[in-house]
Amino acid sequence: MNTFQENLRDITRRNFLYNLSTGIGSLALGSLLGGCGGLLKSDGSSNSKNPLGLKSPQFAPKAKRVIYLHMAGAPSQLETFDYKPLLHKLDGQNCPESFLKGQRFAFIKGTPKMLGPQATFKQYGNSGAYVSNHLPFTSEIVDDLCFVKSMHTTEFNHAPAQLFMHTGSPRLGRPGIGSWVTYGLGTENQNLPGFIVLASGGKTPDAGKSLWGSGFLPTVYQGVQCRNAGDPVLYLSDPHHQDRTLKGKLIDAINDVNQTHFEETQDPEIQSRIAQFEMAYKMQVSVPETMDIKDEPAYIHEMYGTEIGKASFANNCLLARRLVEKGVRYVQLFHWGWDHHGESKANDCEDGIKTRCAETDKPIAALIKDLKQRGLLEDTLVVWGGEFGRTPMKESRPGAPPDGKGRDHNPNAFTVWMAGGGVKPGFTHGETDEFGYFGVKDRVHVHDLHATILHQLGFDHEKLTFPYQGRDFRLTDVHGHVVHNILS
Amino acid sequence: MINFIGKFHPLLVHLPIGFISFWLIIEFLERISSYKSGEKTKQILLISSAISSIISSVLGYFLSLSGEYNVELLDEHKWLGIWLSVLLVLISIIYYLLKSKIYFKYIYNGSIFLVCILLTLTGHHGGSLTHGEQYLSLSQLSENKNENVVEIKDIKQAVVFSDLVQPIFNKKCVACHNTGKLKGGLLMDTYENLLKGGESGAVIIASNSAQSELIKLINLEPIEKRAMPPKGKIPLTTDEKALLTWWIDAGATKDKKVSELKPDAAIMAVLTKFQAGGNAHNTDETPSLPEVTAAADKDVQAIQMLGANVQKMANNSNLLDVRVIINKKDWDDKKTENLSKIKEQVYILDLSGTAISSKSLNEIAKFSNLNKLFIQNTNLDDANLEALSNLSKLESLNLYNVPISDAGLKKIASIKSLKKLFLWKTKINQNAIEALKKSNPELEIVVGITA
Repeated sequence: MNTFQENLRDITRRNFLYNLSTGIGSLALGSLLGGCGGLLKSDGSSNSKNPLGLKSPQFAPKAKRVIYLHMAGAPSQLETFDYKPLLHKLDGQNCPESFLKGQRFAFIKGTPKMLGPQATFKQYGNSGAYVSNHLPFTSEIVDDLCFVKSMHTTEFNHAPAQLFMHTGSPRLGRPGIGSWVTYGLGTENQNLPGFIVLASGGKTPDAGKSLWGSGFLPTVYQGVQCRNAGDPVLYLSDPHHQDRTLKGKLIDAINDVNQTHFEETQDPEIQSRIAQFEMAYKMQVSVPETMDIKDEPAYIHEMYGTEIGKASFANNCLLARRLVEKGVRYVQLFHWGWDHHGESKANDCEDGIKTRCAETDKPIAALIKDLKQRGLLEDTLVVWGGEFGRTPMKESRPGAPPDGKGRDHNPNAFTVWMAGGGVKPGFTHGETDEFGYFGVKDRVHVHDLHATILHQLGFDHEKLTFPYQGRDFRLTDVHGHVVHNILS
Repeated sequence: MINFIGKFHPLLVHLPIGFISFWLIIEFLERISSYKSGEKTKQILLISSAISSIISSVLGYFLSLSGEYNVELLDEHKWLGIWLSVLLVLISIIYYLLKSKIYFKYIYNGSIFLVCILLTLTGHHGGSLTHGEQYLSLSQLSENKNENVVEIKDIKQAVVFSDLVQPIFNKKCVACHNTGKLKGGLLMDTYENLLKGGESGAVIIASNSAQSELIKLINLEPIEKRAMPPKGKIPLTTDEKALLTWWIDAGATKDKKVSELKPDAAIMAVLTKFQAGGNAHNTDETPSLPEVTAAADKDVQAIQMLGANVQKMANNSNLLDVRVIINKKDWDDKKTENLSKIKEQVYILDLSGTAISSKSLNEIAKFSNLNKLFIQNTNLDDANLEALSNLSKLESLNLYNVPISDAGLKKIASIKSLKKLFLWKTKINQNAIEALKKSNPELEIVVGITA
């Protein structure tokens, strides 16, 4: 069978009828709605064949870029930002029965004891936000932060909860926020990926690389992970003796063939492949240049606490700034080791969390200050948080050390903060009860957070959709409300 | 079921109107010209209008059983409709039986006249029932205009109910909850009527917004059946909801001013948006941008060829976001000149790190809608900065790592619209910055850390 006939076979009877009835209608509708229209119409501002070409948002955005700082393992809100003096008094007492009724826990068995805050708190800044003594540098920037204390989620295990935080679903297969954002807006710098991931702390998050997968979106929108040491992206450097011009010609030739194939089959994955070949070629120059922090002045290194050549969260924070400065749309940072169950001294809510705070506090504060002085915080939205919160009860599972100071997973209350990108600086939204166990005022669900992030980027979260398996999918699926109260 | 069938009344009622109009047109044409229609045609038209008006009347009766309408007006509409149907039946019979009689012409002409009057009156009453009695009045037009013009100068002195709350109701609720339509038995035209509540009782419980039906309904998802305003009508904005909630919690007073109810900082921030020039009534999703004509595609493409990203601010705006992101050093004054073709449309311009000189500022000064300007990391200095004072809409200016001095800062200070200024790593003295902060406390100046 020749190629032409094969292509004919692609158009099935069903396809034909579907196109017949909806083709013209959806053309008209598409231009009326504008919808996620960047893809439908070439707005004159981008090569419409390039899936990463610039696309306009639905309405004027407050933020152009996002840096998402994820503390994998879920930091305790009770040792960071959610100050609960009453919990001190209950320290060591049995947990009231009403707290346990109807709740499922990841590890707690029987009746646990309450655990008082393992940190001291003070108010800082004009906004008077409470910050624990573990975060001295963050306390300097509270007037730039917007705290959401009443976050809640539906998942109490790490992997599904992390997936939920980043893809809006606890199961595999959905695109991450970064994929949706690059799908909706394209990227400003055609020499760098639009969605870059940096992980630090020894291991990738429990949910793995699906956290930055593109799900059912074309694979060109998936996050590109850069390594902490050695080549930031593997196999970017040319093999010994290979000439770069020759390589350029080789890629051009491959892309020509791919383009012909695309024109025959219209499979968008071929476009992804073409874009990725081109991107990889450009990245050979742009990535090493961007990821090399040697040219930063000494006072910047001092500010972040970075060390050249060392793999650290601090280095990643500095890189995040360099990336958004160059026009990367979505930068996702993971830090690891916040799962403080208290099975050992090094992993409890007293010493363990102190270590993690020390690793992240200074660079995060530096990142906010640095973005601010460069004018980048104006239109860069920074989000900090874990995948859920922790219980005010001490962890009690069979075999847990009796004097361990750990906390179990708590999906009912946790703190997330945001900065820049048009959210109210020096503001706190929502409250938890007297023990930080349950949100009692202005609760914000993960879907609401997603809706708000997309809103700041200029999208109605209900209208940024992708058709898959017979229906339109969204990041927020059928949920989510924009939290207008935190927008400036 | 009967309720449901009744809902077709507004649809079917247009059938007899159509038939009657057609019949009247034929009669009119026959009188002014030599045109003659067939008798059968007229007969069909008359019988059709009689039958369809009877059906409409019955459906109208079903609809009236829902009880959502003003009783007096409804009664008049009902009887007018019934008389119209009766008359049409009579004319059909007369036309069939008495056509040959000598006095037929007088009866027939009289009937035509009567039908015209009845049809007009019935129609008008029907319209008043659905759209409200004030729908068709010129005074309402001017009132509406005034409503938009009523400006609150000082929010603290505004009377909460009459200056803030009632205008929201007028705009978004009264169309259905008025003396003519009375949906759910609730009137929202005055304070007293509002407190009286509707069929299912009070809608406002003073000092308890959580238990107030009004607040519950306006906060429902539009997809829910009981949500108010119902799907398809303009919803309340977040600020309007916040205002109503606060007003009820503060006692749902009638005559108290804002300052007397002691608003806290959070609600004060919302309330100030109701002041003249505020945006509390804007739909939340679409921040408003100045409107301009679209730039020509070929101009935009030409600029893209030079290496700049040119992108619409939003799908619904013609304003442009222009940024030089890669190969910054290749962008010079000559390239800036090319931007003059889109001078009205440029809303954000990022030429940071490019090779521009003070000459480029002359071009940039022409961008009449420019809101944000990024010229940090360039070799500009104090020279020609005064050109920027022409930019009457510039709100954010980024000059970090540009060697400007106190003299340059003076020139920039003359940009009245400026709200944010980035001056990290410049040669400006701290004293000069402090002085500017004092003279313009609204301006946010970011200086950053010192090396």
